[in-house]
Amino acid sequence: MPNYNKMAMRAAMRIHRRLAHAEPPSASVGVLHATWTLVADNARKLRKAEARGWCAASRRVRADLTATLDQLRDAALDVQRSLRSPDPGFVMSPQQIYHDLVALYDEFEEVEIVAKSRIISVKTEAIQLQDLYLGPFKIVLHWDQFDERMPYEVVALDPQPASRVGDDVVHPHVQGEDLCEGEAKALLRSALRQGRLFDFFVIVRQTLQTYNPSSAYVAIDEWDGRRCADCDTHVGDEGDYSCEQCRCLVCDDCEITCEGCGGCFCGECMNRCEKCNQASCDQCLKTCGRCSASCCRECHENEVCKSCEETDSTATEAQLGDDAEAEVHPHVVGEAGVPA
Amino acid sequence: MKILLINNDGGGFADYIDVPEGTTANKLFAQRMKSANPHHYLIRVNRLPVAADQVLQDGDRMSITPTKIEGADRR
Repeated sequence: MPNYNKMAMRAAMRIHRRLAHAEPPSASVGVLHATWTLVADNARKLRKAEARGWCAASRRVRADLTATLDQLRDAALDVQRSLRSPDPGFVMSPQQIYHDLVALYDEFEEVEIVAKSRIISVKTEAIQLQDLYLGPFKIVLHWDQFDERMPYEVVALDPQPASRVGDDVVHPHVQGEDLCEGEAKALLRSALRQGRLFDFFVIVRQTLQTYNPSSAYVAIDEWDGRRCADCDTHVGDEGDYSCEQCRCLVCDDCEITCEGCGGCFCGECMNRCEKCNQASCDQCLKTCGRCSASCCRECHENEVCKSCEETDSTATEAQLGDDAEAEVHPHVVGEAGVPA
Repeated sequence: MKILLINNDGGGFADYIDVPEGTTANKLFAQRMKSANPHHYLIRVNRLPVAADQVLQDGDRMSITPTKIEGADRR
């Protein structure tokens, strides 16, 4: 760590000046009010366009209204954040900001402060989530953009993109150069608003070092492509099937179509008719009321399987034959000539 | 004495607070974080890792940052 870092001091002075003159919460309420006026104006235009049947104008104003509603939401969130802050006016002194910047040299492998382009960047150590190597990242903060929604970028220095979505996702929570902040969002805004730059970089790093499987652009176990649940081969976005019973992913070769309903199933969930061996899902299989065999629709009639049906028919015919003979004999016997 | 306490857990908190002389880093952590496990946090005094029994000094800056902060998949 250098004893005196002229660049860090210059940056600290400028950052403090910028933050100390940042807009108070009352100013962001003014922005919210102005945005609401735009929304109301667009809503009025839309009503007018719809009432007069101006389709093209309607479409245009609808798009404008959607955009201004987005702006309104952001403005409302900004006001909410500034009001929730324990002390909105609390800003670190230039000395504290300087100490933050100088401490970065001990915390990170590489630190760069460029006063001219108003950039502070640090390089993290290589990020590894579970067994997935993602390489080091560069966190680049633009201190002249503190008012922006994303005044920083996260750049993969040895990108290991997820294979199924092109080169865009370089971390489960980074798309392009944008970190999806999740839990870190409020912390980062608060740190930047108060000039706690050391905290800012540490929070971004800790977020990069954390995997949230419930909300990832691409899950770690699908990083190298998704795998077929049956044969474990890679499955692309095309030619994949989701089993209709267990929802697992199966490849084109392993997918089995039920002959009864046409649904797609994995090998684990697919059954076969015990009579004709035809592929059939659980829903399409019926149990024979006589022999309890599981049969497909083709092999199942009148609550019994075809074999049992045939056996029944044969037995019935035989029975009928026997009955017929039994009826004839007495008759014949009865009609037998009796000697006088 | 006054110290600057920064709690980067939950919604975040940063302010100057009064603490009694002789307060240690782990004592203040326990007071502020209740039953939280200190192993799940980066606890720094003046931006440097500290021993749990380090006695805080007037004007110190103590920060508590979770080691795990969950990102998401949309901004």
